[in-house]
Amino acid sequence: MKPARLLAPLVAAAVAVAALAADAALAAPVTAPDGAARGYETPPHHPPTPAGLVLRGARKGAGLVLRALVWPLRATARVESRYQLRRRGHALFWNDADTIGVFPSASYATSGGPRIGARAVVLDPRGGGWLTLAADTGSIVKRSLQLRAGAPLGGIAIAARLRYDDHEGLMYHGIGNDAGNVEARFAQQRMLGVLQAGVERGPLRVGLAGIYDERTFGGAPPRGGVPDLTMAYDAGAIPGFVGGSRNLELTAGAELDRRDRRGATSRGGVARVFGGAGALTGDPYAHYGVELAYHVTPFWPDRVIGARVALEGVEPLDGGEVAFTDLPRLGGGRRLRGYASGRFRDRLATVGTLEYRYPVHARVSGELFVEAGKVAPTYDALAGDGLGDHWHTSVGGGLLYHTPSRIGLRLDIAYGDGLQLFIGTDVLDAFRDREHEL
Amino acid sequence: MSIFTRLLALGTATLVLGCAAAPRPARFHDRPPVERSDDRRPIARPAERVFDPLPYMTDALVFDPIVRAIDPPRRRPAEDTNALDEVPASTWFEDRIGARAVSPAEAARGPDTLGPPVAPFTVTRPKRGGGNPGFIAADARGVRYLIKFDTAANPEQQTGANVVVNRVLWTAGYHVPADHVVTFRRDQLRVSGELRAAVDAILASGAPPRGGRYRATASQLLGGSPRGGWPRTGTRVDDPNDRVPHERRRTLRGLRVFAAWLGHTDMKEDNTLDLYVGEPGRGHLMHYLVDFGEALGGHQSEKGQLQVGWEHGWDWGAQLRGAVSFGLWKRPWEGQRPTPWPSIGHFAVTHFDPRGWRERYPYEPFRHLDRADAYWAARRVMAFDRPILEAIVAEARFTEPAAAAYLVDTLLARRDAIGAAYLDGVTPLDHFAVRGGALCAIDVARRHRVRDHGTLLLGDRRLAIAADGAVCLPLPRDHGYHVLAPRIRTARGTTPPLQLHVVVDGAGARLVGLVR
Repeated sequence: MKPARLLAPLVAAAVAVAALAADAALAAPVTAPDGAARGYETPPHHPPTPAGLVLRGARKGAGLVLRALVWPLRATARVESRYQLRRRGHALFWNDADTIGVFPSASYATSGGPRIGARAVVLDPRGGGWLTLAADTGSIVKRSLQLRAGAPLGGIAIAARLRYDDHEGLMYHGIGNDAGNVEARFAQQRMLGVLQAGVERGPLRVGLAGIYDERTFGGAPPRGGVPDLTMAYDAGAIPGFVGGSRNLELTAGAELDRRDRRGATSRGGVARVFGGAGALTGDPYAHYGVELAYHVTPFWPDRVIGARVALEGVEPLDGGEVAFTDLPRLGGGRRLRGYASGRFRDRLATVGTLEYRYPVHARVSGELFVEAGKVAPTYDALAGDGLGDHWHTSVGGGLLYHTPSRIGLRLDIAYGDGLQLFIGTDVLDAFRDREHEL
Repeated sequence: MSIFTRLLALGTATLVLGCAAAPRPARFHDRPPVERSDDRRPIARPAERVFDPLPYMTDALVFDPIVRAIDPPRRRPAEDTNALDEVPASTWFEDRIGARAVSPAEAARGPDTLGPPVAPFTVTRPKRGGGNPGFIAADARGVRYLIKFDTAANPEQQTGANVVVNRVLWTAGYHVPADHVVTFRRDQLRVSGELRAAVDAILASGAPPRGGRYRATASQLLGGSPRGGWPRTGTRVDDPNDRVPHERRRTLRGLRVFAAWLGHTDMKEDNTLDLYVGEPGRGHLMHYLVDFGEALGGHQSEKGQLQVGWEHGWDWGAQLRGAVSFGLWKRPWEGQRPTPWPSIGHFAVTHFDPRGWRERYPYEPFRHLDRADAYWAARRVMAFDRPILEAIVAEARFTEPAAAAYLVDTLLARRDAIGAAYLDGVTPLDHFAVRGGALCAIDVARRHRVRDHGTLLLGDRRLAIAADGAVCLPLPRDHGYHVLAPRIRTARGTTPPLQLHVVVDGAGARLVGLVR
């Protein structure tokens, strides 16, 4: 056989294989590494303008500064997430069943400096009982010790509080509406005992309270240009200052709450009233208060107008005196923002609030408000001939963080006799913790 | 020369040199477009990424928007596209609807290859993570599923939304697990003693059984090793195949358009999943989207927060506007009304604005969406027709036919809103073919009746566009590399020019590249 005849089939086979391979190559999808599929021979290029370069540089610089500023916050989030500091802290201070906790506390006030303390909490999840013990020192508080306990008892909620305070820098602005009163500091040692019992049936809550309140007063070292009360005033003319006060006050109270929600309230009202009498070593007196608040949503949802009026009074029952610390006061986060806490005090105090809340976020509302209030020694001075006199007004705005069921935090800036910043919770609740505040 | 003078000179020189270069148009290689990304090369098995909600949320919601407002990221075109501005098949995406015919049956089947789960189920363990209760169970064939339930307040809502969005995204081209709606009786659950109390608590916390049967989502566990979700920015450093920063992936940028269409507001790293497929050291990552139960208005209904879909969870812009408007700005979402069916969330076409839509947690790739990305996605959205959507919604097995019909109608209406918002953002020509010395194409906006008019402008020529969108552009006869720049004049203005890069030689004319 000639070699050519032998080679011919081999060549033909090789050609066929090559053709098949070429077909397969053509049929196979064209591939490229990730990000290299665009197929540019030369990619487009758009050179920046000088102004663009300068702008970009400026933005980069500002961006770097901003990144540096937020870096600690970012780092905090990462550290918290990685090391679970809150969870570890909780585990450190609470027992495994989360029924007993002992933990430190700390706060700082620009007016008084740092304050440190400790808290102990005991909970009884099954019975609903609770007990807290708190101790603090620092700032204007030399020492403070408080024991609180509560438990339901056959449908009646019982709560008790025992508190000892030693303050060295409480503020006094005189009695009455006189704007010329001097701001002064005084010291107070106080023993407070409160026993409360209450029942709740739907929107109605009623309760009884017995309040034992023993105080002694003295001068306080001047601080920040605020003088000692005994240097600025005739201390002997201030009812109760020289000899102190010791009262046992028994009051009954009721609250009818028809608000749709207690946090992000959109409509409905709440009425509160209390009344009782007090006496022990001083002159007997009657003590009472009433507060009415109502909310409406006049146009779009979550735009809420709230109005509140509150009146509190003490009345000596035999024409005697009432200790200055037992007089109703105005000023502060719940009674007449725009004025310092306790700015005005007298036998009668009234405040009215008109507040407009509007939505900012699902859980944040903005607010604008105007408030007016006055104190007076008599009803005639309050609402009779003196009706138009001595009103104090404030305007302001703020932000309110809330859930549907409660107000978590509010930040108010108000202008009255100066610019005041308040951080708190419920504004339209003048009598909350009154036994503590008064 | 002082340091200051030197720095000034250096800065000036940089400025001058940086600006001296002339603008340079793109030029494409004369070769077929890439059809498949070569991103399945063997890699070592990456470590599992753990989703940290706190840093993720604070970064996404609070810090990033502040920094971005001062120093916005540079706008760059997508980098995972080929010469024809399409996305090649990859571990991220497999072009389906819009690129080829997809039947209603195929869309309804989705990624499923095994058929629906078969009772009884053997529970192996409770589900970990996520907000809704569930458990892992194997069906009668031994196939393992993640079983999740509806909330008590909204029966059929999460399970229905999950399977509908799952099928839509699969049909669009994304990788998703095979999800089904299943019903079973309590006695069809096999639960060992130690799990019984946990399973009973899970069953009790969800929607109550109907006719003695519990309804749930059964999501088939994917084959492979879960490696966590992919990062929202940059690349995955332990995946050498992942070479395009995620904020420059069209598949992720364009996902914003699908998410807006479907109300998929819960887009975050936690709802993505990288799966290592193959033997250790010889496998690669596949990239999946998972968990769509909050879509179709579910997020609003479940959380009672109607602003979801319009505002981020913390939205600096909206909050600032709300704060300074003192409540006199009526926000667009405030007029929403619930549908009559608990199975359908706050999902409607009224007030729907595709451009203004917002996911719950800002997802960085969405912030980089450009007109070309939006067009790419909108073209696929427009390809979903009524038969396909009816077949997909039927997979949700809604008890009330009216609810299913409403959902289909709403998806179609929102689809049209997507088309109106995005198709004419570019010159919407597609489906190119050279015929008889002309480059013929389809005006996608005209074909989908987004508009009923339009004239194609090419140089000084005015070319009529047929009612079905067909139009042919004359090609140059000269051999060489040519760039055509057609635009379309509509009643609302003229679309930006589309660059068509054409090579003409002895073999004929070829479209080798396209810049939108």
